[in-house]
Amino acid sequence: METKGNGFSAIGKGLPMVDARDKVTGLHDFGMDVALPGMLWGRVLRSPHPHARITHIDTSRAARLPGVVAIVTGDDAPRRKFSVCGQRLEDEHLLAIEKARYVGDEVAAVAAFDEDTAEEACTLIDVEYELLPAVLDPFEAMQPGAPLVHEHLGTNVATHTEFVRGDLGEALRQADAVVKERFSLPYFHQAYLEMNSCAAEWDSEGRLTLYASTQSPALSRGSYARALDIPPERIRVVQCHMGGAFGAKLEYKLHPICALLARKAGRPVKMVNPRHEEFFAGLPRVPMTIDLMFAAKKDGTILGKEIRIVADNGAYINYAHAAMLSALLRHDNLYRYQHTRAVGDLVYTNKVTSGCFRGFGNLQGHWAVESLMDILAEELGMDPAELRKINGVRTGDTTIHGWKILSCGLQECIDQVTKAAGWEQKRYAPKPRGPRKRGVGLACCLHVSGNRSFVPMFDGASAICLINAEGQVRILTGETDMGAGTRTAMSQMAAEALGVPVEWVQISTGDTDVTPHGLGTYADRGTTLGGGGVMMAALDAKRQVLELAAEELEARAEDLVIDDGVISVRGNRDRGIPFRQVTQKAFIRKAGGMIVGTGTYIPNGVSDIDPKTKYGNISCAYPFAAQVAEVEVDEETGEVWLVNHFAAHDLGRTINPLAARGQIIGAVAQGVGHALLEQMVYDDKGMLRNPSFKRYLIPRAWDMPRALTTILVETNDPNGPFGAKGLAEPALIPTPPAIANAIYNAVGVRLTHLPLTPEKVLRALKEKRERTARPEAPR
Amino acid sequence: MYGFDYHAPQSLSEATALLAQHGAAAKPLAGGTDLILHLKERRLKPRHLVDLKRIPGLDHLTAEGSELRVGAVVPLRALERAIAGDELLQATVGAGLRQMKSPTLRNRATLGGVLANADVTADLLPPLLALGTTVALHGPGGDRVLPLDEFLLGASRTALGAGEILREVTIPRVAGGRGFFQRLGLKRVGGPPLVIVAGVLVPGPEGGVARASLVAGAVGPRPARLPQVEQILLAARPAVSGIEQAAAAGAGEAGAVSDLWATKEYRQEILEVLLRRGLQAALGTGGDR
Repeated sequence: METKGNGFSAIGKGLPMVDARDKVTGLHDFGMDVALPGMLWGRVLRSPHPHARITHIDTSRAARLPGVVAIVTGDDAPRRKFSVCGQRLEDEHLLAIEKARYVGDEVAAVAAFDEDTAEEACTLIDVEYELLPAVLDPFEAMQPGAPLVHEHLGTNVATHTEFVRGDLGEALRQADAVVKERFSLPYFHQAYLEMNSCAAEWDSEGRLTLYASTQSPALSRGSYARALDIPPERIRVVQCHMGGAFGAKLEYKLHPICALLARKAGRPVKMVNPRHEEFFAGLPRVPMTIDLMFAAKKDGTILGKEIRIVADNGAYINYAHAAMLSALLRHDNLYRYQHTRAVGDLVYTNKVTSGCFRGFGNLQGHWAVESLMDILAEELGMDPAELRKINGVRTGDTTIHGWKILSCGLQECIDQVTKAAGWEQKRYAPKPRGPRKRGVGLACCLHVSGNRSFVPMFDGASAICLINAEGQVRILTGETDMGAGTRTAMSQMAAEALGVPVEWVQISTGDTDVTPHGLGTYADRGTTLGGGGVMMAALDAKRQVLELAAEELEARAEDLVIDDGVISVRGNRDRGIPFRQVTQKAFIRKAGGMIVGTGTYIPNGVSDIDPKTKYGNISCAYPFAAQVAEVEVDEETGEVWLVNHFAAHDLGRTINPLAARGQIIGAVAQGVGHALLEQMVYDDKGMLRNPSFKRYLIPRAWDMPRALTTILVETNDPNGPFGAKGLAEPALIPTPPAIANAIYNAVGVRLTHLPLTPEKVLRALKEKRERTARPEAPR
Repeated sequence: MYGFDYHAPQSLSEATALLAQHGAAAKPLAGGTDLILHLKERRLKPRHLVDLKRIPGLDHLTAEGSELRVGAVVPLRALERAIAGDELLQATVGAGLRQMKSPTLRNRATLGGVLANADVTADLLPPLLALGTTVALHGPGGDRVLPLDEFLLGASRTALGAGEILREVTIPRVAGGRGFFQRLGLKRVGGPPLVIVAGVLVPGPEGGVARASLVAGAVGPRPARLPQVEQILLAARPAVSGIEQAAAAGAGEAGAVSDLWATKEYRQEILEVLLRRGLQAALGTGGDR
């Protein structure tokens, strides 16, 4: 239904991904598969202690092991500290100097003839540690006298963020109802299939080439230049095909360590993290404890909101400051609050550094907000869907933080998803006897399409469109494809803009010597901003094609159209000429040159945010979503099964419905993991207890509902290319609170700490029974 | 360098000689679905792997008569097929097998490997124990037969002596028996079990049971029989009248422990629920979830 009658030729077609054939036949080479002639294999030696002074490192035993070529320690690394792009708080050395700050901290690295030798050599490096008291809990870390993760900072609070709109006191004075609750989330691991990997080689001029599967070659180049203390123009980052990332693969320390080893060895070095090291030393989701309050009128109008967050940064700062800002700020633009106050502390602990994960901090914030919305609905005796509709932002709104909502399908998402789910009937039907109860729960969200507050340099994207003599189109983009289909969407957009079949288009992603320097794929910017750049480049190439075609057809270029590879005067396709006829002419006239279209897409109206007040329109287009979960809860065991799920997403315009629905289904699976199964568990010694897929439980097909209904709502955003907005991240965000709200509807218990394990559910059911046995006790 | 020598003996005596010669440095290999993971994660670093799959006489499966005799290297998929028509074995062993959803895994993993690996949370152990399974061992000192209960000593520990090989597994068919398998895990299928309980009951006179064998797995240090539960059921007339009391007793006697997945208290509560549900199902009072 989305493929017909939308007036497009390529947009809206459910085409398989451009790399699907290679993937299913095993021909697709991922970053892990890169092999360079004469390369060595590298391995990292990591700290076994959460907090320890390094008093001595002796590498002599390891160096004597046959096959070992190079060993690097902190002494071989630059003395300067570095961090990720845009991060002012530079707190990290490439290899630990003086102190190790978490179990997994990089202490040394070895390059050898093969992986086994490198691994064995790591066990032969003698490191003397002087153990220091570790601080593992962010609340304890904020107490005076707590051990300091970074002494020179004088505090464990990495960033403190606070901003106010309106007057919360006024909201409280006017309010008929005030609800508040504490919510929390643990570390979640991104569980990408392809482990972090890298291959590095240096040429005789001291230029480094890094082959890596990264979400952003350009950000990596800049950050690794600082890490290695060399100018960025000496670094070329070649983007490899990615086997999943979900936010985890922006800059990653393994890559510059690999470069350090390759330089010392004088040979190319390849490194692949073993799976357990991905758990110990990856960049999992920022854990947060969130205190949230709503003040509302009887009619459902939410007047004010207060949020306080304590976020666990782990040992070094990555992008957690920005994730916390998202958690504090973003959902304020989903509902029409008048008075808000937000306070957040990002706190160092001796645990793994927390970073980016699909949904960024917005998942954390929405976990609290969308749960408390249901608590408020109950307090006011309102239907949760109705409460959301009353308060929801609408097209044309400028929100309390200055976000310009140019398209908003929130109301339609709520209407369609509740209708599809049979909301009224399922929500209010009397529960059957027996231990198994069913319930439905709703949750909404908004997200961004690019986030100016994250990496503030610029917003937008550029691309180059090359057309050769045979009429083949090659797009060069600095954005990346994590495996989500960005290249497929881009090829459809380029084909649509040019008027050629999709099969004629190929997409080349990041190579910092060749492609434009895009910011990369994160914050749902790939399709909207990256795609916008592709569209502009294709249109520029098209203009050149039409100028040449105008000579052939003896017509004015502006009267010409290209349709399915045929160029003709509008309305006169019979007398058209093949696209290739013109590209061959260009080839000869340019002496072998190609048609080169360049395009830059800078969306209107996006501003940097005020560093103090956080006011500003941070993105060009805002996607919306509403999901309904239907669960079955066993009251005797606390088990929860997601039996049905319904997801409606305002994605602006569907570029590829097959990929869009795939995004949603995958995201809901990830949401089921967050809601019911996943958590990284640290013991009181700072040791991660479940660093494997045997013990870190991600959902599999059997944990998914039999039926998952996806609804694509098209609002045709004026800023997005062809009207498109982001989809990948919001697809995940409503799932955990929708499940929690469904559990409440099923058995009447409110769970606030993810994941919602059967033991937690059963304990809550018991407490509820004890409460109802003593009816005089306060709720 | 990590490495090992691979041996493919052609006879039992050759295999036992190899295992005896290399002692702790050698590991027998059957399907490898556990062992290879241990090697990859360096939890085990044997210098010698002794592959048992080419030894004649370890891959037989006879299902006639009063028992099932299963050679040590018979894949679980073959066992699954062999018990397809047997109601009791389906309700017990079959239900445990179904927790291993991946057909490739069931084609590869062997029954002998599952037992010798002694993963105390393995789904197959409680049903096999409840059925009264025995294992035949072959070693330098000859052959011996042990009840499975005596063969399993604890986590990754068995009664296998130096050079000894698990040769055959014998699963009795309990005439007239009714069985059940109940499990609670965090995942709907597979993944780490929090509680498993399996039972075999033989109806007796006056609505009672003449034989009761109940085993709890994944709750304590190793799967174990629940003698108090069994006594209560044997004494109850009719047996269904003892279900509530038996289930409550089971929660106390299973030696539940706390770990990464659940607390001791939760395991005890769940054991009671699952025992009740299993007994109700086996004794035909409905209540199957």
